Amino acid sequence: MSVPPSRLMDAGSTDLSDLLQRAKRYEPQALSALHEMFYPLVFRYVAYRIDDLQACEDISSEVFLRLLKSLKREELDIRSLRAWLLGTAHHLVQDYYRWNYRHPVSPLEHHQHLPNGHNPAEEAENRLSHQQVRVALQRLTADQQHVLTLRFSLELSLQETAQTMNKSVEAVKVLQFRALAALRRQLEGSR
Amino acid sequence: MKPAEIAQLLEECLQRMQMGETLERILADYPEQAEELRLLLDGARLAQANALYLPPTSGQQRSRAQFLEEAARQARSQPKFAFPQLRFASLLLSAAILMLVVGFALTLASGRSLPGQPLYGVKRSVEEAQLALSGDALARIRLEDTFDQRRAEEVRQLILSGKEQPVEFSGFLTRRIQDGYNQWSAGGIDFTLSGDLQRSAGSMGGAYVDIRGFVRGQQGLEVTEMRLRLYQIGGILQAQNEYEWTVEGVRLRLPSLAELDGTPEEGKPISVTAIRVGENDFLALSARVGRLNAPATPTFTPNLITPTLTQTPTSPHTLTPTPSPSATLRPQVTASPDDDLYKNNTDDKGGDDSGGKGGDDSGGKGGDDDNDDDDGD
Repeated sequence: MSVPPSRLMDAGSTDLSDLLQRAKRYEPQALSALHEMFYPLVFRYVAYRIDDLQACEDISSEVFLRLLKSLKREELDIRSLRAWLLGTAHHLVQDYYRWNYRHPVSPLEHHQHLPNGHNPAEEAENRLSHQQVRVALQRLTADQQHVLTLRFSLELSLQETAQTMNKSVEAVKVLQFRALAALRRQLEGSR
Repeated sequence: MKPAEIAQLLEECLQRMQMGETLERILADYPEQAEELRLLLDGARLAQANALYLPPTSGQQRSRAQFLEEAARQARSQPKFAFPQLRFASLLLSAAILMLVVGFALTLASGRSLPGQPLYGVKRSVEEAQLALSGDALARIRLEDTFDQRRAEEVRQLILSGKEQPVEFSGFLTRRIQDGYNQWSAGGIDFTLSGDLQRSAGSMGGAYVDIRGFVRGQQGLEVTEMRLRLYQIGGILQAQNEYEWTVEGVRLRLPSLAELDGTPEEGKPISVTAIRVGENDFLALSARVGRLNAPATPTFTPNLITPTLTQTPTSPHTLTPTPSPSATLRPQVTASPDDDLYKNNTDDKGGDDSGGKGGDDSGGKGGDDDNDDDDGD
C-alpha cells in the first residue's frame, strides 16, 4: 500500500508546500499531483461511510472541485489541506445522508469490483460481517462516524485526527471510546 | 473508571494492538477492565476490517480530468490584476484602464515585440483583454486563430534572428516524409520529433494542437510538449441533427463515442468539449445539457496532457504530470471507421483528458459546522 499522505507530509513538507503554491497558480502538473496524492484518501473516507460506488466517486470528485474555490485562501496550507479535504468529505457525506434518509442496501455487486485486497473466497465469507458493521456504523452520530473513519479507515494518528476534527487529543480519545462503545451496542442489537 | 480514563486505556490498548500484540496478551495486563476493553477492542478490529476500499482507477481518472478542466476554466477567467473583491467588474475595468493608460502608441509598439522582449507582456495582455471582451464562441475562436497566427510568426522571427527563447504556438499538425524522415509542421513551423513525442504525435495528425518548445537559434525549434487543444464551447444549441450540432455559430460533429449528459434541445443551453480537426471542423468529445460552463468529462480521449508527449524537458515549464502507476492509456477518438478525422494514420493510444464541472464554495475547515452530536469536547 502506498505511503499515506500524512507520512508524506511529515517527510517532505517543503516540497509539498511548494506543490500547493503551484497548485494555487493553477499549474496542471501540481494540481494533478495533489489529486493523485489525496484522492485515494478522500475516496477511502467516503467509501467507508457510503456503500454506493457511484455516490462515493461523485462525492470524492466534488471534494476536489470545491478545493479549487478554496485554493486561493491564504490560510490553506499543506497542513490544513488534509483537514480541509476530509472535513469537506464529511459534510458532503452528511448531505448525502440528509437527501437519502433511507439507508440504502449495500450494492454488493459494486464491492466485488473494488480491489479491496480480499481474495474472492474470503469476500463471500466476510460479506455479511462487513454489511453488519457498515449498517451499525451508519447509525452512529456524525462525529462518531467521522472519528472511526479517520482512525480506522485512514489510520490517522490521534494528533492528525484531532487536527482534522479541530478538537483536542483528549477529546478525540473520549469520542473514539464512545464511538466504539456505540458501535458495539449497535452490532449486539442487530444480532 | 471515568470516561477519560477508560478512553486513555483504550488508546493504549489500540496502540499495542497496532504493534502486533494479541488481544489476550493486552487484556491480561488489565484484568479489572478486561471485559469492557474486550468489547471495545473487538469493535475496533471490526471497524478496521471494513477499511479495505481502494478507489477504482476509472473513477479516479475521471475525477482528475474534471478537476484539471475546471482548474483550467477558472484560470482562464482569473482577472489579470489583483483586485480580488471586484471579480468580473475588475476584469472589465482592468481591460479598459490598460488600453487607455498604456495608449494606442504603446499598443502599436508592443505589437511587433517578440517573446523575451520588454513589451511582449503588454502585447499578450492586450490580447487577453480582447479575448475577455470577445462575443460568442465563434468570435472568440476567430480571435484565438488570429493570435495563434501571431505566435507562429513570432517563432519564425525568433528562428531567423538566431535567438534562443522558450515559445508556445498552435496550429494544425501535419506530417510529410522528407529524406526518409518524418517532418512535422504546425502553424507553418517545421520541426522534428523523436521518441515518445514522435510516437504519440501520429495519433494527433490533422488536429489542432498547442505546442511548447524552445527556439535554438537558427537551428530551429525543439518541441518539448504537444497536446490537442480542447475547445470549451458553451451556449445555446441553435440546430441539431443526427450527425452535428450548431452552438453559438460553431458547427460540431458528433462521433459515435461522444459522451452526452442530458438530452439536447434546440434553444436550450449546452456546453461542449471539442477538438478541432479542420478550419471549421470541430469534433465533440462530450457535452452537458443545460449548462454553459465546462461539460461532462469525456472518458475517452486522444492524447492530451500525458507525460508521453513530453521529451526530456529543457524548459522549466512542463505541462504534463508523471502518470500514476495505475494510469490507463485511453483509446483514441477515431473509434468509428467511418469517421474521417485525421489525415494521417493513427495507431497510438491516448492519455487523460481534462473535463470538469463547477462546485460550491465551502468555507472553514471543509465547510459549515454540522449540527450533529458533538462527543468528547
